[in-house]
Amino acid sequence: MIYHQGNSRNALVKKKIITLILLFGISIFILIFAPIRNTLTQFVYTVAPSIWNIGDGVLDTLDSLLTNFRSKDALLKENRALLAEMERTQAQILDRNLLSEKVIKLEEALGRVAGDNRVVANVLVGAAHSPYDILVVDAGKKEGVGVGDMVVYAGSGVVGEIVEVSAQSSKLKLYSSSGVEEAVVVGAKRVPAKAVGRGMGNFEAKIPQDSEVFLGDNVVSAKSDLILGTISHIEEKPAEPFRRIFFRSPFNINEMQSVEIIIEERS
Amino acid sequence: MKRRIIFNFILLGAVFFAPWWVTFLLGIIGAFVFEKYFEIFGFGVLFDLLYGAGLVYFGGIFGVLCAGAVFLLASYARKIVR
Repeated sequence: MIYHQGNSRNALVKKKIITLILLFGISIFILIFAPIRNTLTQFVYTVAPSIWNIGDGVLDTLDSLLTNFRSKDALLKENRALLAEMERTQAQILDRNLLSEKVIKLEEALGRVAGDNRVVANVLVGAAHSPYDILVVDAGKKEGVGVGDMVVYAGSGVVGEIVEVSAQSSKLKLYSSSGVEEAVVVGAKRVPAKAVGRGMGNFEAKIPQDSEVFLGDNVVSAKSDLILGTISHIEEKPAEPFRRIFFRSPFNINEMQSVEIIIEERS
Repeated sequence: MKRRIIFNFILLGAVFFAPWWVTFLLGIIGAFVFEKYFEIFGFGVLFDLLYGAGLVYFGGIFGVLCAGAVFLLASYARKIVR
């Protein structure tokens, strides 16, 4: 009897292990095999934006109901909105000098001013939702968005690029994601460097020891001439040939409500 | 069974609306409380489809990898506790 019980228990454990291996294998296959993954993603993203919109609507309704009763909370909310607006304005101000330089160069070249094609998109899902440092925005193929398009905030600060596109939404990967490398130029002397993402809007880069770089200098993406961040800390050790600079986005990544996608021309 | 279905809805809501670490914690609770909580793989796939992409680190399969790890650890923990 004991022998039989042991046998059936072993069979159950075996069954559980086989099911586990099968499910794990199928899940991995679905995600690694691109055609299946893309099809399922498109399907999921036909429903997901509506769910997020409903969720946002419910939260907004609850918020407005509660603020009627709690004046302190209303003030806090207003304070948060004003802070976000201030960060946005600061980011815009940072770009003024760069823009004027750009305009002068363009005028010197006597060429016509090249305007880029931008699409404004609302952030459906912020960076806090995903361990991948990915944001979901509500513009997709229908608006002409494609993989590799750059995404900016407040008209000036580049935040990342599009990595996946669905019909009505897209996923953007932040440049500040841990380990992501981006070619940049630092400060007024435009010292070239390679910035490495450190997560949540923070970056690190190494520049030659004798470079004229100061706290508060702008760091600009080499690819787009758009601001990536401002230097917040410089670390130098006399024994090392390099200085390490730490810089961060001039705005809070978590508080972005909308972004602009620069649509690249595709043939 | 009823408890399990309700919990699945809560976890589904968390996948869509909660920060990823809340979903992760709920996944651990589910795998520990319910026997053979194979649903966790479905949530892992959904999580990766929603937030991952082939071009990001781990190839965008972080959710499924976590689901597998949580399932194994929770099974082991259940064995020890009960």
